Amino acid sequence: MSQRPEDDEIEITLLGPGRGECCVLHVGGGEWLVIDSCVTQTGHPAALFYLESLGVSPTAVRWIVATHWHDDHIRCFATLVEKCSQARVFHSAALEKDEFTVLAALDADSLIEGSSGAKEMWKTWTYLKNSGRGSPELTLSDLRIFQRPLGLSPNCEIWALSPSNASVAKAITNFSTLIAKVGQPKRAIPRPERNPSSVVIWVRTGDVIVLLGADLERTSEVSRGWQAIINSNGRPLEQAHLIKIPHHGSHDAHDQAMWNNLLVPYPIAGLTPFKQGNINLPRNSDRARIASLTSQAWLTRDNATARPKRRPRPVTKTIKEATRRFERLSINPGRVTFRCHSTQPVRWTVDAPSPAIQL
Amino acid sequence: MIRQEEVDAAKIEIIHPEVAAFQLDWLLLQVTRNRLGFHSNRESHYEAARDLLIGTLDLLRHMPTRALGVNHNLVLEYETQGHCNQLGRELVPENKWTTVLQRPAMARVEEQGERTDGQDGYIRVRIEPILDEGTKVLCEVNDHFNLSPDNLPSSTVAIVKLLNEEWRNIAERATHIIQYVETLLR
Amino acid sequence: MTTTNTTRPLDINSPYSEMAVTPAFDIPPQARSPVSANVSTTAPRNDQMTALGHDRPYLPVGLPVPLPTHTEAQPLFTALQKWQGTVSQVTDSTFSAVLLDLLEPSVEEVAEFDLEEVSRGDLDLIAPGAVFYWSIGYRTEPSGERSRSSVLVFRRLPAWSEKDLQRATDNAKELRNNFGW
Repeated sequence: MSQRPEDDEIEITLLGPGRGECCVLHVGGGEWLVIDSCVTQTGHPAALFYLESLGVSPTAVRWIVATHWHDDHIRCFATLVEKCSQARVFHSAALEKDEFTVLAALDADSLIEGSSGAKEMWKTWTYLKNSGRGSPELTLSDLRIFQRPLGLSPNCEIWALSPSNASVAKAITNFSTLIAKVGQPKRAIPRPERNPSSVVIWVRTGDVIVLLGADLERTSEVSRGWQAIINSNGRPLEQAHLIKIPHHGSHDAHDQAMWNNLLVPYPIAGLTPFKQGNINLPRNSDRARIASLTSQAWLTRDNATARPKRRPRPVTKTIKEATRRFERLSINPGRVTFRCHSTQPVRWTVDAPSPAIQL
Repeated sequence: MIRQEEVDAAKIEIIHPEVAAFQLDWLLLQVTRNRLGFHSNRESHYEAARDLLIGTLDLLRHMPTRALGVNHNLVLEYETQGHCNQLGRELVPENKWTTVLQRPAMARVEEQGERTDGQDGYIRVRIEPILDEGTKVLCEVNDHFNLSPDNLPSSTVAIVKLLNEEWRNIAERATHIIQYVETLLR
Repeated sequence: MTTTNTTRPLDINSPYSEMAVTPAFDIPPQARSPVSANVSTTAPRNDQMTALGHDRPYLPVGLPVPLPTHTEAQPLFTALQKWQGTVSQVTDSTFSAVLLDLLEPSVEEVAEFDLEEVSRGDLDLIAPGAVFYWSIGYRTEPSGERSRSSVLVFRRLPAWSEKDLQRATDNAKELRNNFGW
């Protein structure tokens, strides 16, 4: 779709992985919400690239949310925040705590080149502090972060459904285990396997409701993860018509109660793939499970890896000899765009150009 | 900072009252009264040499430091000595010297430029033929940063920052300049 | 025309050979003695650089400070490709890493290596988050013999110190105060 949505249309565009994922939403009235950040081949925020392709100025972005600090969700986040000069910036309340701010300060000082999520968060804070834009706003469960004033159309509400207080407490415990001790070697902060404090966003524009699942996981405790949201009395109770499937469709993030309670039957669904080490998401079993829950699910790319770069023959030969596996991570994010009129949540237009696929 | 087996195999060369040297198979470390040098001829270990310097500066945090130079050398090998002579004439026109010198030829050229990154210092390029290697010319790019030694301990901290943040830019600059020198004879 | 790394041993009378990093110090008196202790004298060498063409004599070029010279030639390594890697997963016999192509930094790759590819002295550095450099290129022996080679070198940085942690704690506190957290 190369034309910008009408004022009374809602649009959800999923981008990823390039690496990471990002979600760009038009919530009506020419106002945009960007959730997370991934980058293009040239290293620029993919969200800005997409908005530019529609002729939308970054100043139309009113809200930016970092769902969590893992590097595949906040690549170039500081640049995104800087360019979107009119945007309010949100992240999990867990990140304001001593444990995470010290972790980020240490990572920024580690001499390890390259991007880690904690370093990017420190960079974002430093920018906000130095530019005078002030502190980011903190999200907790059941927090309404925007309501369009009465009389302006279409009506719109944006809610954060997580993290719960128990999730924040769990995240703080996890952060403290990542803080380096005296005498430990300097390393990049490894990407934690668990992510208890991801920010789930719920948006209603007109009659259309969407749920952006971030990387929130299923837990056995009712006070954390999807269970905390399902059991909350403070959240809006209407079911969503579209879901950004959490954590790249992984089994760890699948909670059947979420599908039963928070979504209409057979909702529209979108997700992005992920690759790290031996982990390839979504797995075949994940794809089958998602396909059983909805026939309208799209993946931004079939695979998070791409054909290896062409190199001189001696290099290619040595790569084969020296490695067990060698793959290129995808270069440019794939894209799936969903649009519908704010009064007609059943009539969606889906634009999923290659390499996006329907599951 | 160094693997144990390398420490065991290291050669300590002591040559002069004011000069000491320590040699690994990928590194030569020299210490003079006012200079510390880390040299490597293995591209696989350039970053290891840099990290060893970073580690050393961490120990010498209160050493007043005046300058940092990062130098890349490459030998350009031509088919004939005539090509080397031609390169010399491209850099230093022969006819400027024929009235005062018999058969003049370029022995060494050094060209210096200002930094464009806002840092204090300069970029200096040296081009010089190599002894016994009539077809080879050494091209050296010296990326030089001046520091304020009075500003302790920030002069060593500044070096660590420069080494960490500017490393790739320095290497790219050197490659760009050396590639330019290569084009002079194309 | 070809370009090669120099094939002569490191000659320090040419101020820098290949890649050199050289900070210059104003060493205070108390720091001088350990540096100059136990050293003996040798005569400075002339530079081995020469004038160009026309059968001219060599032109010796001196340095203000006499510097040592290698006594043994060392193998060279000329890289065709380099990556910076960050370890993401470690198993009993392998490790996986995300690789950044240093010739084209927008290219990211993932690879799985056998631990056997790593020097014994680096094995204890392998853990998630460990950073290394991987080079593929040609190794040239002093005899001139050349072979294709893959080299993994793990980063060795100063360990975290009490001061580092205190600085991070202070920086974090200042930020939180600034944001009113």
